Amino acid sequence: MIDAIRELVRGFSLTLRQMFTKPITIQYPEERREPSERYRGLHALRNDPETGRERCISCCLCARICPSQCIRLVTSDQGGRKVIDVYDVDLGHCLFCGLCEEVCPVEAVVLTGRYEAAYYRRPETILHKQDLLRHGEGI
Amino acid sequence: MTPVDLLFVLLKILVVLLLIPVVVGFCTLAERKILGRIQIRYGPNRAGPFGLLQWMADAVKLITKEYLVPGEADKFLFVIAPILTLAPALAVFALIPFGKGMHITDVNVGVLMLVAVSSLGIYGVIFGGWASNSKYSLLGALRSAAQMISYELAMGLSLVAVVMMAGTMSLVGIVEAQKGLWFLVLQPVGFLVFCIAGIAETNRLPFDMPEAEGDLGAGYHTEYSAMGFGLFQLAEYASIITICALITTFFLGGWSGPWAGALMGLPSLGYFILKTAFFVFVFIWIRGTLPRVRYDQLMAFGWKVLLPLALLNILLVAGVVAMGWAQ
Repeated sequence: MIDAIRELVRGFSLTLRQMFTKPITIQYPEERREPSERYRGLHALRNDPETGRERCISCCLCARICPSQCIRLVTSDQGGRKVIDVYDVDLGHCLFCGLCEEVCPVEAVVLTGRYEAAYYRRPETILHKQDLLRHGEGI
Repeated sequence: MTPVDLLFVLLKILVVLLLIPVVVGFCTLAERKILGRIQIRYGPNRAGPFGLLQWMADAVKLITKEYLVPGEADKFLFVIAPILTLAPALAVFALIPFGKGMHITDVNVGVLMLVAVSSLGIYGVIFGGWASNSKYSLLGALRSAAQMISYELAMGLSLVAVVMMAGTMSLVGIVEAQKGLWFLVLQPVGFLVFCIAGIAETNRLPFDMPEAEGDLGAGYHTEYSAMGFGLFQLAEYASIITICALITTFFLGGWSGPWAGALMGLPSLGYFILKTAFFVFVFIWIRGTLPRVRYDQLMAFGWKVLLPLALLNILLVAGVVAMGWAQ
């Protein structure tokens, strides 16, 4: 009986104390969570910061290593240089394992801290080259 | 009764009836906010400043939704059940003295009428559960019936002691009788019994067996949608406020307090609201702290602990009154 009352008092004082602590909620649109350094979010294609040209050398290693085969690469030959025509990442298939990033010899494709990947239409879930380049700006 | 008197009474009823949904609205908001803070989150804070308009948004949503009646349901009972629950919950407010001279009626058998009217609310719950033609609803209704009958006994018996000490059944008279010392001090056991029975009576956690969302999927109002559900919700919160107001009236001296009669009795209304609000907070606090009890525990507690305690309380209070110590 005494024990029961003691337990009750403990429980009630705990909830009372909780009432005066600051909530841990992040008020999303106004506040944002900072992803960690190694967070694997949406993909990006980086440019060379010095020349401003694309880093990607179209080796297609990322497309080959991808376990879910969500990267589609189409290249063409333009005056002895390989040029990427299509670089699509299908987010509906991607499992964000980061193998593409790991295998890339020139560190062109990277996974960023972007985590907002909600779209209204299915075609939007496929990221095209210009989206990836936009994501890579400043990285 | 002259027509003017009648008009005045009707006006008082109208004011109370219009105020209750608003108070209930803020009560639901307060509940969600306080529960949120207990669980280290904010609770609703998007609609209006600090989420103060959330209850209005909820109400609009409930009113505009489609009212679905299950095909196998008993249509007539299904529709009237929420009304049957709400009407007694509102009717009780006619008896409560909100402040000095602020009450709709002063019935000389107030306590009796109160117990009688508040017991009627259970019919709505039983009809609602039965008419839905769903297992969960029926189970919820059955549990509710058993629980309310068990706890009504303890509740009624704790009121017997109050009536003995006050020497009157009128709620106004009971408040007057506590001018000197609150009944909370004179009969703490009765106070505890009344509070616990009150929580069980309003189907609140830790005694929310009729709803028990985990095992019954909301119990008697599983099949209700739109305003049918809204009315059940309104009735539930209205009865919480009622029980808190009754605890205040019976054990905390109602509207009494220093300078209660000054300024046309406005301080008395303030005292009443303050005391009632405190108990509403305690109810929410209890909900945020205690887990739901098992059904057999609930029954055992009601019959083997609460009822004997209430009887013991009557015995003690009867002794005190007979010896003339109450004065």
